[in-house]
Amino acid sequence: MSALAIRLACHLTEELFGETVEKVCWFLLENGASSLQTIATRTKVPRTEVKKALCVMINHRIASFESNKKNLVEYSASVNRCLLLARYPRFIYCAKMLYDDAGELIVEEILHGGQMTMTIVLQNVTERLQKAVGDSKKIETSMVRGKFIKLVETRFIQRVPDPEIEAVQESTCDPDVTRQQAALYRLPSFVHDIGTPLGKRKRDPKEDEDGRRSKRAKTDDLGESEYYIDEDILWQANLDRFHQYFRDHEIVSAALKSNGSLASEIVRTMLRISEVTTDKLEVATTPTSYHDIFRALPANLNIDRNKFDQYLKILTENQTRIVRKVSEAGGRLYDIDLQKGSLAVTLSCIESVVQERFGSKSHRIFKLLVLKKYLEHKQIESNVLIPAKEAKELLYQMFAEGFVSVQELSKAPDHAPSRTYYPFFVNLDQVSLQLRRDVTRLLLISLQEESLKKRK
Amino acid sequence: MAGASISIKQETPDGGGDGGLAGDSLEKRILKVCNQDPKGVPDTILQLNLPGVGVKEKVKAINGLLSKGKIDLVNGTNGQLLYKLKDTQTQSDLKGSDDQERLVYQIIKEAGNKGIWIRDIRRGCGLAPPPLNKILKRMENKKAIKAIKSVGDSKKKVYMLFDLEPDRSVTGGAWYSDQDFDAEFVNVLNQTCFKFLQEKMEAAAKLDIDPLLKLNRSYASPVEVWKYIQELGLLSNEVNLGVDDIETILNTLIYDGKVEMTVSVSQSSSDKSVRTKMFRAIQPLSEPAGLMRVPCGVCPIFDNCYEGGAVSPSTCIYMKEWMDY
Repeated sequence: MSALAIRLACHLTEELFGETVEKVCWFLLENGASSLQTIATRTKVPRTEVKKALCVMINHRIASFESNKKNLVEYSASVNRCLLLARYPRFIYCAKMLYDDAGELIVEEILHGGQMTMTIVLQNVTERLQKAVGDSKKIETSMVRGKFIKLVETRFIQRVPDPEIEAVQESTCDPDVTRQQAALYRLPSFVHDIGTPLGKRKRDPKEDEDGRRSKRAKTDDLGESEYYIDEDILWQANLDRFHQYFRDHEIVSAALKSNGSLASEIVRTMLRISEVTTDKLEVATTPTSYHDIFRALPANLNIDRNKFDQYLKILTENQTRIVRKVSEAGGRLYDIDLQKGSLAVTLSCIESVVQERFGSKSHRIFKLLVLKKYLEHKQIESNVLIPAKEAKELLYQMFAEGFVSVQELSKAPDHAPSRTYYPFFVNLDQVSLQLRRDVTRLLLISLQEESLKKRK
Repeated sequence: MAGASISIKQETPDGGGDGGLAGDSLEKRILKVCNQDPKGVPDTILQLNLPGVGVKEKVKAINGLLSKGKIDLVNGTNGQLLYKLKDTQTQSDLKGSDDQERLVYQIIKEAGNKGIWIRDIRRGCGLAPPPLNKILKRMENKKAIKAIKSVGDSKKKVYMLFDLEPDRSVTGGAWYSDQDFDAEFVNVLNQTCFKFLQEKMEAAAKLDIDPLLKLNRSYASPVEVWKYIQELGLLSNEVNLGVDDIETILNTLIYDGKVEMTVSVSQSSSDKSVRTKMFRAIQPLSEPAGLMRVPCGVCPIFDNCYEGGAVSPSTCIYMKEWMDY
């Protein structure tokens, strides 16, 4: 991973968790997996502090640990996970858009706490909401709880997998992924029982709530005889699900731009039906039948079957080809090509960068290369209708900045320049990586500037 | 070549007027035979077509034709001699010129409206550069040939017959005025075409009709766009813009990301299906990237900007302005 990303990661951890964590994080990212002793001596941070920092990092899933061959426990940090810290505001905003203020606060609490029990989250959120509205209105816990359940059902929040169960699954190689997945979103039985107060309760040795009981004795702030009913069920934010939502959102807005609002509603509905059943790495959504999509459309759309038919036809015949007809079986099955959809959105994003940075003429050359793949520069000139000299200049400028690449194609094995073609093409992977690097740098620069400004 | 042969037919009666009666008819018959193949006929075929003509008479007639400049003797592909018709235009252009000039003229003529480069002429005729230049100059003055600057390479001159319309590959088509690419013209056309398609789409969007019909209404064929451009009176009379040219412009709009193209198949009256390209204005799929909203997005020295360097974020005035929210 690049030094740039590490610097950004460290900056983000420092902003969020303070200097000590930043030091430990930096050390781990620079040096890879290390033992507690090494970290303490090399960073010159007291051992107890290091332990605390590691706790914070593990709690936020930034760091993980593993015992190596010599049975020594080693800690390592993930730079990609660190970089996600920058996206926290976006996650919180997304929750606000979907589930109002309560949803926003729930996600904020969980993101800041890392892993938390439901009861504590609900308590804190209710308190904060109450503070915000003042005494004029009473905030019901049941409302907040409802939002929490919604968030779990839509998989934005998930259980932290129980390490013991995970170990068992790993050793037995349980192939049933779906069941494992479902277990992550299983709500404890008591939450549906509105009457159950979620506060502390008296410890009753005979009571066996939800088949699980705390094995550890809680002593600190709770008395010997009091405990939270779900103290061993921890929840965390499911960041993959958020990313999936962002991707779906982009695909829907692409459909909106290309085919209008009704078409985008159909795409949104298709994505919504399949969002829970489609795995995050799947290239296409689960095929859905015509009738199911029609039935699931929002009622306020006022769309009849005839129109719906036509929109589906438009969508399937559209240039982007995001919606596909999979088969005629079961009253026609449709799915959404997520790979193509993401590619189309990414491409459009990259094109906008080219357009802004190099101007519309270069954009024309760039898009021509994207569409036609490999072209020599004579062919480019004649296709884009730009004077030869200017076209050459624009092309080489993009080449110099890495947006356009050259493929050497030799007619003879000696690779003599006179017998070699040099067609230009766009290497999308390279361009996206480069833009990602630019964004990382930009983020680092602006965050540093921001913190400098704050200090002044 | 076909045009040339027709004119020959009309020429022949008065052309052979000064010969004897028998010689005249024989010459006519020879010309008729030669007329059958503009590439030239070998002696054997001539013999076959002239039954009962003695060798002496034939030689006399051919010599007569050669001296009048009506036919030519050329080397055929397999080494045999061919009798070939000369067209009248060549005759009028080359009045009072010598063999070398005729040869060069012939070479230039064969190149057609694509023109021929001076070096290729030299290779064809085997003349040294100075006399060749002289010949070319002389013919240019006589307005038998003309020199045209090629668009592909501004230093390269090509020669062609004076009254030929140069080929598109030489002049570059409608987009070139005097060998210079007319970028302004292309830009105006590009914008006008886009405006037309956009208006069409907006008009369709306003209609309260079925979505599929609405979509189809927003498509336009190149012919429609071409008619619109013609009606606008945007073009001066000299510019001859075809539907093909409009299609080229529409293609650049595709590369601009402003237009999309589909092919529609329609059944015409005869059983052949006709494919027409249809164009439609579109919007970009996403908003401009967030990266570009920051001054660094377009900064040319972004890669060299470091804290403590000659250019650094903390001393950057654009950054400061942007951070002042």
